Amino acid sequence: MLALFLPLFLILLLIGMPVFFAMLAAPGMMLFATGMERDISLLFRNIYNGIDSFPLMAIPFFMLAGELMNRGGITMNLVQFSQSFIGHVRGGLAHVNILSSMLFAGLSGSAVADTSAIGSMMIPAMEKNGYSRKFAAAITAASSVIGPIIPPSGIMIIYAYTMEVSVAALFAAGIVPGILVGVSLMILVALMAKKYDFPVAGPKSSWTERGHATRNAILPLFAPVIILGGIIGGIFTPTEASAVATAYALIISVWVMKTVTLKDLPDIFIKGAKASAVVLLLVGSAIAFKTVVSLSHSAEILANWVLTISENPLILLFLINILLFIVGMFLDAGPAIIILGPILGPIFINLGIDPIHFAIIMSVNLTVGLATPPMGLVLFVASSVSGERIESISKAILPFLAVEVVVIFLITFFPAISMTVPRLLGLVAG
Amino acid sequence: MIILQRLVDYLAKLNEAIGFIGRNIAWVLVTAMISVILLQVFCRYVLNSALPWPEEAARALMIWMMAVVSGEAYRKGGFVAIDMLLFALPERASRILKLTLLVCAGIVLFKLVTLGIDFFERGFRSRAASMHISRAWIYLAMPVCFFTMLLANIELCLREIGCLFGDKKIFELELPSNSASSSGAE
Amino acid sequence: ADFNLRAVANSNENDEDYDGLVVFKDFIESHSNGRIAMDIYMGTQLCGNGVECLEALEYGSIDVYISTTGGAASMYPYVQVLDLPYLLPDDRVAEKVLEGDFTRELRKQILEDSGDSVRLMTIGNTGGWRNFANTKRTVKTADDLEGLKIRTVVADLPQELVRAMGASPTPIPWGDLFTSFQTGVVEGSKNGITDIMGMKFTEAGLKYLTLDGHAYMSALWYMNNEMFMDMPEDLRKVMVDGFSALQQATFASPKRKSIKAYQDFAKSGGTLYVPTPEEKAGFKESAEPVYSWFKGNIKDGEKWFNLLSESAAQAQKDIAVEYAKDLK
Ligand code: NA
Ligand code: NA
Repeated sequence: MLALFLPLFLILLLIGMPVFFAMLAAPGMMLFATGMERDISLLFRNIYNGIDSFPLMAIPFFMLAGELMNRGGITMNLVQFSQSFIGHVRGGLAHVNILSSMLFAGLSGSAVADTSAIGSMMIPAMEKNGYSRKFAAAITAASSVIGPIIPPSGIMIIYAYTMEVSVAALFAAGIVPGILVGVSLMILVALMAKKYDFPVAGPKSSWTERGHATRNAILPLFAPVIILGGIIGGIFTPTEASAVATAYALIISVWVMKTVTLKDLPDIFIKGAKASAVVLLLVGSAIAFKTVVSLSHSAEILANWVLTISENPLILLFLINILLFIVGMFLDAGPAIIILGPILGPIFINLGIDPIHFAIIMSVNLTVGLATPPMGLVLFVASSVSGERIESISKAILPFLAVEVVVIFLITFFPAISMTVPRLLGLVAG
Repeated sequence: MIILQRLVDYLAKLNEAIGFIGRNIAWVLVTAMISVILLQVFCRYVLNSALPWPEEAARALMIWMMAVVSGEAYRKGGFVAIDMLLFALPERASRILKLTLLVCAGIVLFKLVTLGIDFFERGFRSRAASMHISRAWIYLAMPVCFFTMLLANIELCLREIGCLFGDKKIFELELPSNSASSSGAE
Repeated sequence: ADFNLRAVANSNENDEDYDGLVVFKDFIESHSNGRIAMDIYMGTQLCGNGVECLEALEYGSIDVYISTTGGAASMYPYVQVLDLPYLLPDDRVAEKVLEGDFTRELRKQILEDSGDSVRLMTIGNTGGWRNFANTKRTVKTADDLEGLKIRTVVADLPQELVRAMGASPTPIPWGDLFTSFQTGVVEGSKNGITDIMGMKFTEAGLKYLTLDGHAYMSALWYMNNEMFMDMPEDLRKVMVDGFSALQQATFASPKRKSIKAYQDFAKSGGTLYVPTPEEKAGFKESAEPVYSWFKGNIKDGEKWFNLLSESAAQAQKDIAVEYAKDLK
């Protein structure tokens, strides 16, 4: 009876109830119907319990750092840096868009921030250069999913928090998959550039120009070194690193590049606080929801059912990829991880898949889900930044999604892609 | 209809005021949060002796930061929903569905407020691990958070009723155009 | 069943807590002829730490819960008396003390402080004894600990102990500890051997272990008092007997589990040092500031310190009498 909260949740979600309320209303109603007042109180407690967490604090801080970097004109410097190196090839600006996303990913943990920062700069520029607007919006959305794959990553922080794995190991494991997604997209662009005769952005830059662009980009490019070096090198905990990153972004944008004044700070902080509040409440409600998943024993029921389909981990991984891809179309990555992680994780870890490897499979898959129609969050942002309709972006993005699906399968079936870096750094045993 | 309009106006003013106060508390809290963590980094790596309280203090600041801006974030459409069906339905049906969903959300929020107050009262029994305050003062953030959201929800409900039976030009809440970009971790 | 209980332990199924719960569940379900049933929730499925779970227990959202002393410290600070270093010398003394009236005194106080809602049922063990281990050098006296960064939980008493030894306490979450050893953020810890080997800390360089036995890792088992008092007396007796069986199981389990853990520790290149009685006395002397800290900073600290010291002395006397009979 209690397990009925799962279908009820899906119904509430599909008829348009905000995810936060659906995650509380569905189990709340079923608990009310089965007459267990003490469980409703437990449900409430766990909203608070979920939010009261030190690791989670890295999310607001990385969001603030991204916002500061963005207002500080840093995005522009990264784009110019990319352009000076690859702007001259055929399809130059498309390549610049992807490369800028990869660089931006080292500062920001969010695909949404990436889409709005790089999109607002690159989409008009690409249009002027002769690309169609829908293509420009599509490549912006497709490449922005690199944001939460290359560390830092809000999604991985949430994963590490719910599944009790090391953030440092997870961050290290995301580096190669993130670069792989970027390089694969660039290969596709190169092929398309030949076939459709994409424009070049300008003449080849001289090494003096490149040196100049590098000098302008060096401070923001140094941020990932601080963040990752700090976390992986064990100087900071991830939360401390995120606060240090915020302070670093503050110093460069206020005192070095002087693109933000002290008077702008309250507004930036308020924007960060609001965005964080929404995420924190979402995480809290997802943790509460997870409690009812435990109480109803649906995780065990589902796990047993999954094992009746097959006990071959490779086949199950294939099926799980499809499931996650579908879930990713409808649900944001954060709640999807909190709800599905504890159900799916143990099944695969028992089958011998490394916890970090599984974390990467799940995170990358759900991250790509942010850019898949019909419900991809990033598509909405790309649409509002570009003014192009979601439907036409959705169509234009399909070839890029196809490439990303191939990458997901590569990551799934070749553990070395994600596991090599954390192994070399000694962040995982074995 | 006039009474409804008055009510919506008052509520809107109240919610705007709460939003204004919340925003101004929030940026102070964020500043404090960054300072506290940086202080801890400084003590641990420069002075080589970690302080016991910054972690817990920063968590308390974060929870309060969330509490003071949630009402406004909710009011301005910051909560993600799948609105395909709401767009697909004819306007009247869509508004009725939306109102129903708002009422459901209101019930959830009301329950959260009452449980939150209970939670606050019980919090006096336990003390924060590293600070000499009762945990109740941290727990208080939850009922505050949900109460401000409830006020916003009531306003949204009344506006929806107004749109359903009256002039939607008067009752529609103006939203900032970039509200789509307010979702965070992703 | 007439009574459906919900038991929570924040550890996993490899832990002594789980062994205890399995014994307990079987005992109460069979001895009550099925009138009591119990579901076990391991880990953080229903609540994540001592404060969260004890508050859930107060409210009746859960019925049975086990916390460490650290987990209960911010609710009932005086339970940290069990963490005072070197008060309990060995298993035999510790077990005698915890089976006796000391636990009943603690129960009385916790009932009072929780408004008659939390009932301490028994105290067992979880993980054996805490010892100092580090990545740098063999530690024979407190002086050898000087300057090491030792991981502790966020709580005053363990931090005081580390400071008293001249080392620097560093709070690191359990999940990040492996990485922190690897990278040198911390250089030592104070954990039981099964936890060290369970987390493969030797692979992160934690290779020097000194069996100083500074704290008995007590496991406090609670029940929602209302649920307990709602049971008729015959079932209450089943519960009390069940908790006694659980206590014995958790006393035994770490002893069995640590054998393999010590073997694995040696196999992976670890160095074990057993301090001489003189060196152990030296450790105890260095720890004196912790006793005065406890008496000065915890409400009724003096009373609890004396009660535990006297109980330990009495237990040692009783054991001496038994030796007199058994050794002849
Ligand atoms: Na990133
Ligand atoms: Na991009």
